[in-house]
Amino acid sequence: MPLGPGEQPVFGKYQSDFSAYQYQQRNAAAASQNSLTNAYNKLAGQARAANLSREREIRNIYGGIIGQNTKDSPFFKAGMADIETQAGQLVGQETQGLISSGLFGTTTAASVPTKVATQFTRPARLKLEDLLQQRKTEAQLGLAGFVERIQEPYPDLNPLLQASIARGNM
Amino acid sequence: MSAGTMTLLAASSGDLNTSDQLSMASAFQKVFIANGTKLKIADFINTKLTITALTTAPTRGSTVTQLTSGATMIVDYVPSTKDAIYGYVTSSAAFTTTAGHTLSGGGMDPTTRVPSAVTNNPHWYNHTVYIGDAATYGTMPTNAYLVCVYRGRVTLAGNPIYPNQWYMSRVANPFDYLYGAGDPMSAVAGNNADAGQCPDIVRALISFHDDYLIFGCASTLWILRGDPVSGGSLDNLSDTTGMFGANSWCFDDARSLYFWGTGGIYKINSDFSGIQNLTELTLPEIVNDEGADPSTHRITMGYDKKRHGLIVSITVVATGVNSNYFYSFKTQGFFPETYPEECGPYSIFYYDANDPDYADLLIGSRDGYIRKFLNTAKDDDIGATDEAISSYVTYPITSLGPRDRKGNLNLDFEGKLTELVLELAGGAASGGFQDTDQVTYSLYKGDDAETVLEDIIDGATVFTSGTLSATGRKNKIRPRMRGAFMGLKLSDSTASKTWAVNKVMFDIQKAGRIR
Repeated sequence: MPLGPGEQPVFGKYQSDFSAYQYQQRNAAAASQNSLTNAYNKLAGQARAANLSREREIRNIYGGIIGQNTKDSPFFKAGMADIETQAGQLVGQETQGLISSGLFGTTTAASVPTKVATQFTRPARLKLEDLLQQRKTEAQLGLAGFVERIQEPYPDLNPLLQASIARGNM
Repeated sequence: MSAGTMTLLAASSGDLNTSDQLSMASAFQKVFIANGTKLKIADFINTKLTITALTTAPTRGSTVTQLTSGATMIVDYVPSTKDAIYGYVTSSAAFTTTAGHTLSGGGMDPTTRVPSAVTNNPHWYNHTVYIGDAATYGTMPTNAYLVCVYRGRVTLAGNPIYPNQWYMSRVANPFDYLYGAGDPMSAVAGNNADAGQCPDIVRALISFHDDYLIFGCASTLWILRGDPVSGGSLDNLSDTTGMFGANSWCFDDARSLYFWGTGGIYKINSDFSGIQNLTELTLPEIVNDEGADPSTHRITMGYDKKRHGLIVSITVVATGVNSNYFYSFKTQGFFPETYPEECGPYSIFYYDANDPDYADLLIGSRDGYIRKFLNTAKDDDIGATDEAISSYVTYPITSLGPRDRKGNLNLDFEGKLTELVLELAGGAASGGFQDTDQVTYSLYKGDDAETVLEDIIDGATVFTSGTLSATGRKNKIRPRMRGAFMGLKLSDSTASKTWAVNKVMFDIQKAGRIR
């Protein structure tokens, strides 16, 4: 076995002592290497936990964005309420127009809600739904990209390698 | 050009109730008839294919093709029984009844049908919605007495159950009454009233091209401008004047509208600048005097281009008894006329033929004849025989009193009619102008004008009378009639005799003071 750094050759009657010494030295080196591995594992575990925490946080953010853009969301409900309000105003305006034109007593008046639904409510709802879907899709794409970019945080192998080399020199 | 021949649309015979109200309108080369529950179409454009009932009819406007013959038609109408297709043939090839020449196209099912008969127009059938499909083509009123066409919409009204309601078909589709479909062409129904108000009863539909439609109601008038589904407007024309009936109106060539209304005969200028009562001053009691009732009388009006005036006819539907007025555009005056009961006008229509010889005002009479006024006729035609024309003119009641130097009449004195000379129309005997045959003059006198007029109307004893014959200036008549006012009535009721007077001349001398 080659001598390690700082070791002196041992001869004669001291051979058994030397072996004991050598054994002692090797145990010390192994203990030191275990300590490094543990430290490394500890650090790696902490980093991984932090990464997972960040991942959860980012997923939550994306989830929140996606959740905001569904038909059950307050945003959609508020948008629909606004559309209904505007539709009601349009029905009123159309009806007033029919009264002004003297045609309130015709079936044209009865078809005003249908006309508003066709010409305003439906396109507005579709536009809102399209906007929501667009935002949802963007968020989903963002989440997909994020997921794609996630990597397991491997430990830095250099200290472990050096420790292994050191143990091999004992 | 020669005179045409009238043809009976055989299927229509007995299918209408001519003792009931009836109106008709033409469009899409068809005639739409509203006769109460009898809503009919006379079709002058389509070819009819009679087939075994289909499961699914071809859609309207689609093309149906016949195998082998290659004949094609654009589908216009299919009845609810789906056993006939009415369409416009677009091919030079004709449809056949040959076995194996099956029909297809337009989604019809099955496609194995072969026409059992191919019938050229005209056709006579019920006016219903397409294939009787209420879900797709709506529902028509089951009862209507009024019809017109406005902006490509067949418009019905006069439904006894909903007399204030009007119904318009889809534009260019008289078989679609699906109201409120939402598109600008869709069918529409309505009434004429301000929001929340009770609408008036519609009595007449008067469309003027595609510009406006006037609703003549019982006590109001309304005008619809433009389309009721696409930007139109409905406005009140009068809150105080209503219209008598479906035919009690006509237009002149200046687009002015004349109608028999609640207070007499009215005129509305084409610019709607106002409603003028033409009889307010000259015939203020015409409505009460005539006593026309929409349930028993029919009032029809027509513009006579040839004679430059209007004919207003008030006829008792049941008897044909009539009272008429000719309103002269030249004199702005009304001339009362009465025709024989057989000639009682039920309808008046100016037939505007290309050849002026055949263009004239036509009178649809109670006895079924269509008549026209003949300037050369000396009697009225009552069918198999003729009837003498009874005619009279009352000259304005004239004062016989003397006048002072300023021309003012002295009403304290009587006068004496010493000479009366009449110039009868016709020029020389025979010749190119129509000659007067004979006329009877009747002279009346009285202390006041109204008494004289009343005597004339009541047929009181005349002061003197006589009959003059032939044309030209007649010999002097020396009546020596003393009085404050004189009345002169010219008349004749002799068969085959007519007359006209160019001029009446007379001489008056001062008589004593009125006692």
